[in-house]
Amino acid sequence: MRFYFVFYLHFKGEIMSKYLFLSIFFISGLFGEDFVVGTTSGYAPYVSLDEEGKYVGFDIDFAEALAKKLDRTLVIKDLGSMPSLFLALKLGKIDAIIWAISITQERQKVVEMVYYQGEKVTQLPMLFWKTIPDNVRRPEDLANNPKAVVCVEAGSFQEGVLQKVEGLKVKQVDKVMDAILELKFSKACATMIDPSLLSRYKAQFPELKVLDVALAPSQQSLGNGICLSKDNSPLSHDVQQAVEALQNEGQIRLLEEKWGLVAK
Amino acid sequence: MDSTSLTLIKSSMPLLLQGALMTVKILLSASFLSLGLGLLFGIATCNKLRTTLLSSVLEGTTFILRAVPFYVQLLIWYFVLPDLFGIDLDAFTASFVSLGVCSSGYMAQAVRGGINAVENEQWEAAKTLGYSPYAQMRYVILPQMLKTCLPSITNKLDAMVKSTSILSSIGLLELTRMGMNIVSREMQPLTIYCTVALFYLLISAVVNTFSKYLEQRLSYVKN
Repeated sequence: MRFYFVFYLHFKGEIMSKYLFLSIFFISGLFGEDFVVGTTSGYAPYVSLDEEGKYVGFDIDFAEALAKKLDRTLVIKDLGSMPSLFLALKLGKIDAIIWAISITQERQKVVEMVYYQGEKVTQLPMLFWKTIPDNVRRPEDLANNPKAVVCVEAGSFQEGVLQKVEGLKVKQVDKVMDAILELKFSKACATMIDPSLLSRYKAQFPELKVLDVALAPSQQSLGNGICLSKDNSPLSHDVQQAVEALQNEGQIRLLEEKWGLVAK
Repeated sequence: MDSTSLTLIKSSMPLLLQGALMTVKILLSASFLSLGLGLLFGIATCNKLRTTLLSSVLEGTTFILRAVPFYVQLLIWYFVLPDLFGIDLDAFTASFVSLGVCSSGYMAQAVRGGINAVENEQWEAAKTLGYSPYAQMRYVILPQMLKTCLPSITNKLDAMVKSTSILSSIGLLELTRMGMNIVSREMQPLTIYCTVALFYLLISAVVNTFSKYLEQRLSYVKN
């Protein structure tokens, strides 16, 4: 019986493979090529999970709109952390990173970045728990003090700014919330976060005190960008055009309002 | 605990249960892989059965598996090996394979120690009775080995439960990652992380209860 089945498959193989090829071709044409986007959940309101475990947030809605414009099927890959995201992009496991990543000169040297959201950042909020020490007006004032630890999300734009301060003790944490907990439990004296998250964290933790730190022109961010591989210029070009179209149609503004990133 | 915390725990329960289920799935898959490989490596490197070349190669392998941190092994399985061999492992496969293979190094040590602890007379008696090498191992040596090394195997399984939280770093939606997601949305870290800890306690309690049950079942084996 088994022999006959194998024999049947052997003869049918050629015809079946043609049908299979045609089916794949048809299905690909119907749904378009995949657009694999790397991101990391646990970063509300940009990317998080809802009560049913579905990915939600500004970046998810934006990625869906972008994939639609590109006529491709969106595939979300949750990669857990910033270093994993950049590694995956380098290895070609994903087509793009969409995770509220600030556009900086240093990042632009490594990856192609297409602006899609956010204002130009000329200053960053430095957060303290309950009080800002009298003698602290900028991160440099905390340098060369072994007891003054400043924690920051690993791989973030803010980390790049803090790492440039000579003699400053910088501690990397995985999430912004971890940094807030470090402050709350006196594990660190200050942290620096993305300005778009400030109102949300201030509302939840009124004890947070904010010190605005002005950035040098070379350190300023041009807003949030989609990271793409430098080796894939056609995709970068298509993404650039699609983002411009979404901006002109006002779709990005609507999403920003939906997720509370700008006032309605 | 106030009513807000209870409401939060209640509303977070579906996601936490999903995460716990993923943790259990990973744990079961990795445990089978780890026990299987650990048994093979342990038998091949025990004093009675060792062969110069194979045993040395396996001992070297288990040494590497124990010496390299699990997090690094995970990154190698997820990012480096697919790049070298062109195989794209998804987060689940990379997670259970890396955890299973990494733990097999420790399992092999436990199994090897357990087999070496079986007295020489047991091997000789089995041989005298005309048992084949397979039957000697299956019916005489391994049951005695299991009784000896069950506590250390349980310890390793406990460690594996905790190691699953490292898998959140590659985005696998296991218990810790689910907790992180809820914290980012609800901004109530203490309540959520304490609930996550309770889930881990529960999983560990099940592992330990199963181990105690096995110990009782094996108590007929006299040393």
